[in-house]
Amino acid sequence: MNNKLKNYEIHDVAGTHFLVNVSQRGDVFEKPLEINEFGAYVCKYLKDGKSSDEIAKILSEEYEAEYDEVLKDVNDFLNVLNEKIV
Amino acid sequence: MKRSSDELLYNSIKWFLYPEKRDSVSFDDYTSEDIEKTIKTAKGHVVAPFIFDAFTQSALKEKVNETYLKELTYTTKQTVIQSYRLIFLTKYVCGLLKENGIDTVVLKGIAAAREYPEMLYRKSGDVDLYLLEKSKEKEAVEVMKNAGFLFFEEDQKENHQTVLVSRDGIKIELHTMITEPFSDKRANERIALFEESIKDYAGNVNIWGSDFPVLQRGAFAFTLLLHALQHFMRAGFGIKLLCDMAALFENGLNDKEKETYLYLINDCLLTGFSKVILSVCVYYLGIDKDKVPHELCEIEKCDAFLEDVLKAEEFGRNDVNRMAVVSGNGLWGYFKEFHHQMKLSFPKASKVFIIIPVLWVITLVRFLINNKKVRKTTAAEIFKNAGERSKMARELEIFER
Repeated sequence: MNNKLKNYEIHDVAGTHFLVNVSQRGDVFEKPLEINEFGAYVCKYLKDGKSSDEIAKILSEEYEAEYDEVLKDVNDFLNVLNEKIV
Repeated sequence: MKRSSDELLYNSIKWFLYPEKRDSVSFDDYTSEDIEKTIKTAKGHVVAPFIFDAFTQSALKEKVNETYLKELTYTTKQTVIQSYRLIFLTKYVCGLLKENGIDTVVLKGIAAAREYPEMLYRKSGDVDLYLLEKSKEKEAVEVMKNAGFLFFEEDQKENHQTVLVSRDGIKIELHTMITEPFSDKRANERIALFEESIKDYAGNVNIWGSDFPVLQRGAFAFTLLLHALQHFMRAGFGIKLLCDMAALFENGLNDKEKETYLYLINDCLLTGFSKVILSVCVYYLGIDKDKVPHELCEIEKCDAFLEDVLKAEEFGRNDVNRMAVVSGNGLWGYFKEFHHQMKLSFPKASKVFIIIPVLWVITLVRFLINNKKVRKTTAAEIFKNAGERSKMARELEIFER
């Protein structure tokens, strides 16, 4: 997933987080993916090279939530992301 | 007459354009009616995203009706997604042409948007590219057709551009002239000289790791001014073009860019037009007057000009009586403009002297039919409006020696 996200940037525009493939050629448009704040954090940490366990640990502290629940959310988000991005 | 809703529009635009000056903008005294009118005006001028930040981040957000806010948010997000589409398409087309030895520069689009604090908020509908070598127009069209872009004969209406369409319906205009010809011969000759030397001003700007070909900012400012003039001489233009100039000049031109701009506007007899546009940007859109490379004009002249811009909406589409500005005086002025419009409609045929009277008749008949069926107005109304706007053009000393 880290490698997949290499070409992506998170843009905060119009009160929304967009995950954008900035390396796309442009002939076929890969529409930016709208993600929520949680997703934006996950992407940011993934791009920083963190594992899903490490991300869950950081976010469980940030959101004051149970580690196991956050880990499940992180993994669910990554599964969705895996399907959506090239 | 100054309206508080217009003032709210300018203040909201200032809030967006100059984040560092936000403390000087107050939103205390506006009513919900002002807010409603401002959103409507901003939409008409396709600058709704420019007021989004003020309406969602300043004290205004408490006063905005939820439905309006949802609508504004939707419009802004749609503009952002469309901007992404156009930026990547621009990158693709410029790259494709470059790979085939055809150099371009981006007109408007990303070249103007990059001057804004948030470039994705600038609404655009197509991609405009200028071919640095006019002789490569046919070659460029072939390259694009081979890459799957569509070419429709009925799209090719004007004499200085070729229009192609991407598979998802976005127009790409390949220009061989920076602007359509004006009725002033000397100005056209000087603009043609600028076009001949335009390669000297071409460079690249890097956005998200990719290079986009653009003009040096002084020359680019001049092309924006010509674009504004082209629309002013027809039906007018809206606030977005003023914002383009404001964003560009507020960022500041360096000495070389200023020198280029001053030389070009002086050479093409457009100093008066530049003065009124940049003065409006200072008085109403809040740019620092020290960033304007020439003197300002009196505020009364700016008021009248801004009123014309406000009425126009985007490219004059809000006023059916607007068609053209007449640069000369009296009947002769109207005739000259009519002849000029005929030449724009029939760029090739009008070179054949003997058929010119026939082309005049066709132009006149089209004009009358369009007034009745499309614009639903009368020739008298159009002449009246042209007369009023022409008076303003003369006061701005456009093309005057």
